[in-house]
Amino acid sequence: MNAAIQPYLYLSAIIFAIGLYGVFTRLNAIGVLMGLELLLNAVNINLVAFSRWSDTGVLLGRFGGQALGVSGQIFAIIVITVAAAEAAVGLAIVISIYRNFKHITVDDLDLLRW
Amino acid sequence: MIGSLTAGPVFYILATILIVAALGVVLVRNMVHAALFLAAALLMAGGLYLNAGADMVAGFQVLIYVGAVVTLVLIAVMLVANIANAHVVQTNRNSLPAAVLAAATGALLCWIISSAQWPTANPELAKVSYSDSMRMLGYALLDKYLLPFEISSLLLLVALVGAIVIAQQTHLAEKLSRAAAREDGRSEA
Repeated sequence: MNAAIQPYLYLSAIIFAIGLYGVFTRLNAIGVLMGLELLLNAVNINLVAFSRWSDTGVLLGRFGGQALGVSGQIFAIIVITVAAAEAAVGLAIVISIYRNFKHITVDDLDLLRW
Repeated sequence: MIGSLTAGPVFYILATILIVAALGVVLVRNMVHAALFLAAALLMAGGLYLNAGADMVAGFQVLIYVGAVVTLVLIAVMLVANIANAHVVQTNRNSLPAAVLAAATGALLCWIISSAQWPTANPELAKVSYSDSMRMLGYALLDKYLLPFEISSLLLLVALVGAIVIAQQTHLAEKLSRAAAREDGRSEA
């Protein structure tokens, strides 16, 4: 039973490494954002796997009883919500940068550098 | 019983497609193709959630990620000229150090995963059924996790307003400068 969760964790580590490579090497801001989405998904795979294999249950105060195997899923749903908000604001910033600079090459955007 | 407690052939098929699609996202030159690879990768991740018994998360994944975020990324790619061009290099010169660093991070994570002692599965978890899991998710979301639920709704509202304001910025600045010019003309006359 010890090995059951490990394939999910290995897969998540591989996806995380691939996403990290994308964030480091992409020249345009949209590519960097796509790498970030991969990183968030790697984390979500981990959370769902933990909710399936090592959840101890949540006591429900108002409804009574116990909810089993849902804590990690709720974490994952909230991560998806935050990722959607991040994508909306991030792409709005990208569009705004493109309007002002006519390019979105992250290496050349050094306005805040002294 | 939901999903399977051991990783079966379905898991390995989905995982292989997911890794290939993720490599496509970071390596392909045409950014439209990269966005489509991203859609495939997110869809496979949704399949993995379904395989692990998280049906609600799989639904959210397909609706929000594949339905909304990838569409948003595609529209952004189309609004920004020249990055969908396959002849323009889309990666910087840090490929080798980045590959080394990413591989080192992945290897470190894999080493920790293989050496750690993971808790054995709770036998009660195997008895949870699909309909039960959905009901329990709703109860937990509106009981113990009510505060994160409400805060995430506030976050979505702020992100909605913020995205509109940031994307409209220049439009607003133009309006203001035009209004200022009108004021100047009136004061001269």
